[in-house]
Amino acid sequence: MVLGSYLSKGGSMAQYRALVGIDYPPNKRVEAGEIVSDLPGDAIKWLLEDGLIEDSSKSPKKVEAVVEEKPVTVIDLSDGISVEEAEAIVSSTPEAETIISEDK
Amino acid sequence: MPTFRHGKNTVVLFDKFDLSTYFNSVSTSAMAEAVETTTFGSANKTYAVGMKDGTVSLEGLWAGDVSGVDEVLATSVASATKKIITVGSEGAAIGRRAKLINTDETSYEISSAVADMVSISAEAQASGTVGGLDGGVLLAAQQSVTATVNNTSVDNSASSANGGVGHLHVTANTRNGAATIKIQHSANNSTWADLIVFTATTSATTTSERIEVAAGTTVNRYLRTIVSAFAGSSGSATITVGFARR
Repeated sequence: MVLGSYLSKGGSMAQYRALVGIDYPPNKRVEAGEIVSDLPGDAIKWLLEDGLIEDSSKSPKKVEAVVEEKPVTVIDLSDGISVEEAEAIVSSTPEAETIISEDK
Repeated sequence: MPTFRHGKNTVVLFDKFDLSTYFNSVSTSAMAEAVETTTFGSANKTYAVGMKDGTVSLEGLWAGDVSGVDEVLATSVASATKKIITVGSEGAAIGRRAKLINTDETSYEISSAVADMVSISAEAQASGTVGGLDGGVLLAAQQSVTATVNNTSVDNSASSANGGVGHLHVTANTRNGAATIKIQHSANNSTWADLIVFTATTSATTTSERIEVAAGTTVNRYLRTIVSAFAGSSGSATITVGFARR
């Protein structure tokens, strides 16, 4: 079955992510991490069972959400810092969240 | 009818050296402790298998040439670096059985007699947390490589499920480029997955390497060695590769 005919009938080429380097006929090679759709049908079962390839629709590995911490500038006015000095500090760290404290 | 082998074709690879032509006797010994478990009421003794152990004994003729047997064995005694030994008692051919041993050389003796050749003997102690002395097969045997190559596969008739260990000995190398040597496995002898990728050899440099495949890893029925990349334009490398299943 040619690819166009296969796809027109609703089929889809299964894609797999190689987890190790694999050589397969005719003289093809896929490296670890690469996605391939033309692995021989008789090899897919054992490659999956051995954990040598995985379904490429799955995430390659769990990635934990990274919470980016924003820098914080704390200006304590009780330390005798003038308004001008405070403005200078804030302007020098524009990416930071500024907290102004007046605690005695 | 069993196929018996003559000992004259035995090969001994010691790290990056092929010392076969210096030795005239080699023996490998695999042992396991038998710990007695006999208790009252027993009419016969019973035992449980304890710790495994292994040794290698080498005997041959002394020679003082560069990278020869004396230079290699004398500097290896009590070395902190493990010595990788492959003994092919069936001879050097793909598929022949071999012992793959991770060793500490524990003794080296030179004997001179007035009416005889100067001779040597050495002992090496197998050492390894999983296994220091394994039985496997050769996947490349003193093979002179001048280009990338896929070697003939070796059929184990079935897969195994507990990893293994691979040895590479590059005992001669005049190639003016690097080589990448791998052990691959396959369930169908057609599609091949990398099992061990040895550190790429460097130009005109001999080397050896032992790589363990973790316990619990499936090793499929067929094994082969390939030289997947071979840089340079001239020269050759002589390689021996072995793999032992566990």
